[in-house]
Amino acid sequence: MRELVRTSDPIAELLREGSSRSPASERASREAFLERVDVELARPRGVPRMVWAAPLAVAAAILLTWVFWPEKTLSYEVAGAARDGNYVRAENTPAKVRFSDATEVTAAPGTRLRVVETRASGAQVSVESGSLSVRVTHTGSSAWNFAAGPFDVHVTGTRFDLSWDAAAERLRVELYEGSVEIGGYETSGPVSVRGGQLFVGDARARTMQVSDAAPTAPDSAAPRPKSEAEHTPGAEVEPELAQPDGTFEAPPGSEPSSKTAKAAAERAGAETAWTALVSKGKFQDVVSAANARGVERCLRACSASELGALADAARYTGQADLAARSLSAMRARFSGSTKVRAAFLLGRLSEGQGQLQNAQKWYETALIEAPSGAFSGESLAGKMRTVLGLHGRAAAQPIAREYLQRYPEGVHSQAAKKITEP
Amino acid sequence: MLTQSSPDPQSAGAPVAHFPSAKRSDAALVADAARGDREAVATIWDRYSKLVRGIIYGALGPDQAIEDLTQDVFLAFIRGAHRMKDGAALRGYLASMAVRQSAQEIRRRKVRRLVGLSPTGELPESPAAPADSESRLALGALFRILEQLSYRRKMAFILRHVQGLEMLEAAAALGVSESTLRRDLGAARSFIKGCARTEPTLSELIAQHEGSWT
Repeated sequence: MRELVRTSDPIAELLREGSSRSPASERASREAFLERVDVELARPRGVPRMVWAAPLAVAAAILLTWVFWPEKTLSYEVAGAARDGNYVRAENTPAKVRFSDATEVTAAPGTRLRVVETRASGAQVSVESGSLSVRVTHTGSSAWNFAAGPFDVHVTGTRFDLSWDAAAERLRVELYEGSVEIGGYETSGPVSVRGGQLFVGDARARTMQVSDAAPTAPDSAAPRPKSEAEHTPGAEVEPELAQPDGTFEAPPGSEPSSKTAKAAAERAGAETAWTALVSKGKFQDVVSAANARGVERCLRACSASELGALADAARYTGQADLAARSLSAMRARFSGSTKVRAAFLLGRLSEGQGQLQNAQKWYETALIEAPSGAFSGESLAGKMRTVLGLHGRAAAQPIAREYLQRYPEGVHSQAAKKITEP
Repeated sequence: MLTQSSPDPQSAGAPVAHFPSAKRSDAALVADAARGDREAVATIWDRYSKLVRGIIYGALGPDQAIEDLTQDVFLAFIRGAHRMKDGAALRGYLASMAVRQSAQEIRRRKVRRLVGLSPTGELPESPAAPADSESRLALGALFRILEQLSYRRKMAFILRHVQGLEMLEAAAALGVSESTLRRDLGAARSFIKGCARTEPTLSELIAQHEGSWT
């Protein structure tokens, strides 16, 4: 029965077919393997093959130990709270959970959490109730999970506040740096949240919303977005209403009598829908909506937030070409932080595709256009990585030093320190 | 069922019967392999090389290194067979070795990339090409999606859904609890499902098998 189910799964079947080989290849492979087996079995058991093998093995072991030093599982200590095994209960004062990689979790009074599992490069923390302020040290391989109700916040290195209202089954994550992925329900994929954004998940209403939590950049003309308290629970996220010149207009309703207001309201509906669909992980719906409208037409006429949503949806679904076209359209048609954000994301996209030269060019563009903007830290880190990959450590060291000087506590500071080490 | 191993044992006057190697239990094969029995090793290869190759293929994608890595898994098994206490768990044991071998290979490539031996960390050899262009496109799209998953989630999907390992076997191979595996599987499946529908080659494939991905 299980076999029947397996063979009807087209994705699994595709992978099985991909790894299958022709009978002739199978035979050749078997023969090659058995030749190696003969050599292996002919070797005297428990006796070194060659006299000089021992010193060679020692040298190799030293080298391998250096390269693949077995990572120790993280340890942690709790300060300012009662600890019962892996259960931490912060009473009347904040409690700090400090991990051996310098990651720090500060639990507000009344918070209950459990360190479910520690690994070499992270840990799984389950939040039963309360609020945390988290600072995860980015080590290049760090992987942390913060579970709250049905939500799972996957973190590689960042700084954020998390609060979980167990009674209302509501999760709020405010991200200051880096990015996280938050998974929630079977029916939707994980949602990406970037620095400066606010995530609100409502397990009862089964909604996940992302909005800009703070002004995104000093050079941005965007109005300060609503705080979480101003959002109606379960309502859609209100998007930025961008004009072709990159400025932002007042939300619909502020001038209800005009024709312009009606058009703006209609456009706002569409923009809200695309942004909200991305927030809910319904990426395909956004791409389908763009296809229905006509991708070319959209690239020419869609608003900045629509193009941003389309670019995100395309990236999340692996459609790099569509994502690149959307981001290029954003750069061609808009200015200010929209343009800078598009440059940064084009860098990310190129880096993800292994096109390091392109990636470096886009990160540098973002840095030139907004040297101290919201994306400058990430862009500088991106430039550091691409230069490292393209030209080696010596070339990347000045950039790493610049990063450390400007962002000594940044999420990429560990990686930068490694590069600057003699 | 017993078969005669000699061409004509009756006429030779010394009837020797052997249980056919292909029908022997994993535990018996492991015991023989530990003693250096080449035929037992060959039977284990015949029985599980597809599984091991499939796991490594799922982890790395089309790659010239797959064959060597597959053989390495079995050679490592031969070297450690005498330490194996439960030969009946051979399938899960080989699966976990394949998962570890793939993870090590990925780490090696990362190191290679870090030290600048190869900008992308990829091996210089060109990847093996699948048979037809349609499959190649679909596989390319599928691996682009799989690349976006964490290694653990990707391998959870490969072990359970593609290779059909039992939950316990897959959890043991990944070194996680069953509940963690269940969560990883749910997340991987929904992510792949969502992304696959945006890829024309994959969405068409899924549409042809409507119902199996609901």
